[in-house]
This record gives sequence, structure tokens and C-alpha cells, in this order.
Amino acid sequence: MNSEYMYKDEKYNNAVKDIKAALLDIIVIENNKLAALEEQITTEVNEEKKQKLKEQQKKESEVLDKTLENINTLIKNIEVLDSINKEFTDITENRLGKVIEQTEDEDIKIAFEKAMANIEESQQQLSTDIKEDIEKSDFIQEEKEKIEEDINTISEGPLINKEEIKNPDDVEEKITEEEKSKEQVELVPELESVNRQLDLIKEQEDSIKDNKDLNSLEKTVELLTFKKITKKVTKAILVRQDQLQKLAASRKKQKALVEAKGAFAGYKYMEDVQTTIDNVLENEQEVEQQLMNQTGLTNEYSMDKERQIEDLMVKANIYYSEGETDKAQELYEQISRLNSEIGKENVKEKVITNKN
Amino acid sequence: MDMEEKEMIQIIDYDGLKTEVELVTYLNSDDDKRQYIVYTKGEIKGETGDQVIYISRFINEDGVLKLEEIEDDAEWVDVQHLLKKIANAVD
Repeated sequence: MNSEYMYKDEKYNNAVKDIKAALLDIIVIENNKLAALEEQITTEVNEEKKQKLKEQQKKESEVLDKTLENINTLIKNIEVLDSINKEFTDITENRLGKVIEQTEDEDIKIAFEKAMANIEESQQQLSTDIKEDIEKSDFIQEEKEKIEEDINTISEGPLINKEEIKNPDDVEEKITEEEKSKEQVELVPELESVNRQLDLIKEQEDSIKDNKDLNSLEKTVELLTFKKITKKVTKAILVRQDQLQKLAASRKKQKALVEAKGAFAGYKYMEDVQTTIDNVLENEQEVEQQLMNQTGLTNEYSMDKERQIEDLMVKANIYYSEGETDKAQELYEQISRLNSEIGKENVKEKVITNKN
Repeated sequence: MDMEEKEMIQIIDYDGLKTEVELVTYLNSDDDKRQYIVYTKGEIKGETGDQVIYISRFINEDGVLKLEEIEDDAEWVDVQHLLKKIANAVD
């Protein structure tokens, strides 16, 4: 589970947080522009000027809607990239990586290195595409530069101890001969499972090369999984095709409403990969706990706050799009307070007046 | 469903069997306390081409999405009401 792994590279973790904060800032700036326009409209007595300001307000509102959409996509893609990075680190530094270094089977080593190289290539491609999206966006130059710098940091990944891993003497766990041969037997099927996941990533990479559609990458990686907890029969009904179309058309909005209720908070995709890898090493959770205790970097408090911020952002966006600017304003203020609590001082105060 | 982009989800049944199905939409109860998924397996019935859709309630337990089945009659009435509101909306 990603949230349990401690990453030694604080610069990387800060880059991820900073990007999200910068994107939130952009929303705040756009909101402030709208607020300023609203104030001008309210105080303007000349009807002709007032009308022009209203037209400008309408355009700014459309810009904000587009910006929100772009930012939501960017945040999701950054989270995908972050997750791939952490899986990569997880595999190389904490789990299979250590066992691979100890194996004498060259074929396994070669297959593993090839698989890791594929992941690296996917990471690079995703980073490039994210940077291009930012470059093409309407964000102000200052914000673009800040975000691009953080993207570069994330692209390098949190791997800073590759040299240490290459030297088996530095590995803390002493693996006995018996455990080694047992792990090698278990390694091949587990490597197959990892390779399946990596093939999936390779397909996504090809998809990126074909049409650069990052949304399709996200969807392929995130196949939402639900587990039935009873054997009871599922309720079913018949609908006409036109009714089905309307239900399907409602999906995005309904998903946003459901997300705003926190229905997907902490959802872990790629859980199957984790479960498979979990079976490879014995006493894995104990090792993890030791690492957590040694580094003292559990950071759960900060990650809970970040999840809260993300949930609040979704709700605020929904309120704003439905014209409930007062409620959106309250949530933006809450987001600002949470950001300050986890050490970010660059989220500005915002004022939003009624959209109309 | 052709007009909207398809979204597939995975359902793991009680015995561990995994199935990919097509997600139609989500429902949120009027009191905001319950959330549902609506999905289809592509089953068409009858001459009019009506399609079967399935509805289950889902909860999030420690990041794992779990499906519970609707058993209460009152709840089922509410869910059908939610579906009708969307499915019969005037364009």
C-alpha cells in the first residue's frame, strides 16, 4: 500500500504537494478576477459600460470553467504519475528489488531490468505530456514556471538510493540460503504478475504515442473495482434504450456528487498488484513497520489533510458550477486553512461574490 | 450505449470471481447517506430491445469499495424514484 511507504526524497514529496497548491492558486486567481469584475458591475452606473463588463464577466466565467476542467485533468494525471513513481520505488527499493539483487539467475535479472526500463519510459512520456499540457494552457507565466520545475522533480522520481541497492552488503535483512531458494521459486510467478501489470503500462504508453490522450491512460490504469460482500441477488430492472442513454449521460455529474460525499476517499487501485507482491516476501509488514519506525516519517496526518483538501475541492467546484458561490467560498476558505496547516503559505485569501 | 464513452468497472463476486461490466451511472440518495452504482452486462430483452441494468449500494471501507444488495422495499422504491428522475428527464 503506497501510503505506508516512506520516501527518503522529501524534495519529491514537496514537489507533488507544491504542484497541487500551485494549481489551486490558479483557481483562486481566476476567482478573484471574477470577483473584481462583479464589484465593478455593481458600482458602475453607466448602462453601456455595465453591459460590456457583464459580457467580459461571462467570458471570464467560461475561462474559469475551462481552467477548472484542465486543472482537474492535470491533478489526476499527476496523481497517476506519482503513483507509478511510488510503485516503481516500492518494487526496486523495498520488495522485489532486494531479492532480485540477491538472485543468481541472470534471466530473472534481465527480465526485471527490462520491465523497470519500460516503467521508466512510461514515466518520462507521461511527464512530457503533462508539461506540454501546461505549456499550452492559459495559466500565467509565473505559475507555469513554478509547476514545470516541480514536474521536473517528480519526473526524476523519488529514487535516490540506486547506488546503495546495487551493493548487497548494504541490504539490512540477512536472507538465509533456505529463504533465498524459496524466494527464487516464488519469484517467477510473482514476476509474471508484475510483468502483466507492466505490459498494461506498456500498452498505455503505446496509447500515448498514438493519440496522446492522457484521459484514456488514466481510465486504463484505474479500472474501478468493487467487491461483493454477500451472495444475495442484485436488484435489476429493464430500461428502454433512450432511458439508458439519459442515465449514461448523467454519469459524470453523478460521479462528481458521489465523490463529493467522499465515496472514493482513500481508494486504492492496482490493489491486485500489491496483493500479489505482498505474498512474495515473508514478514513484509514487519519490515515495513521497521522502516516506518526508523525513518519516523509516517506523515499520515499530512496525507489525511491532503485527501480532505482534494474532497473539498471537488465539492467547491460543484457548488460553484451550480451558482452556490457562498458555499463555494466557505469551502475555499477551509481549503486555505488546511493548506496553511500543512505548511503551505502561498494560498491566497479569496473573495467571491455572487456569480450573477 | 454508443453516444457516451463507455466506462468499464470490475466486480469481484463473493466467491472471488472477477467480471468486467459497463458502468452506467451513480446514484446519490436524497438524504446523501447512500450511494449506488448502476451497471449493465449488455443483456437485451424482448423485441423492443430493452436493456437490463443492475443496481447495488456501495460503501467505502478503508479504501476498499464494497457492494451491498438492496433488500429493503422502501429503499428499492427510493432507488427506482432516483432512476426515474434521471431516465425520464425532459431534454
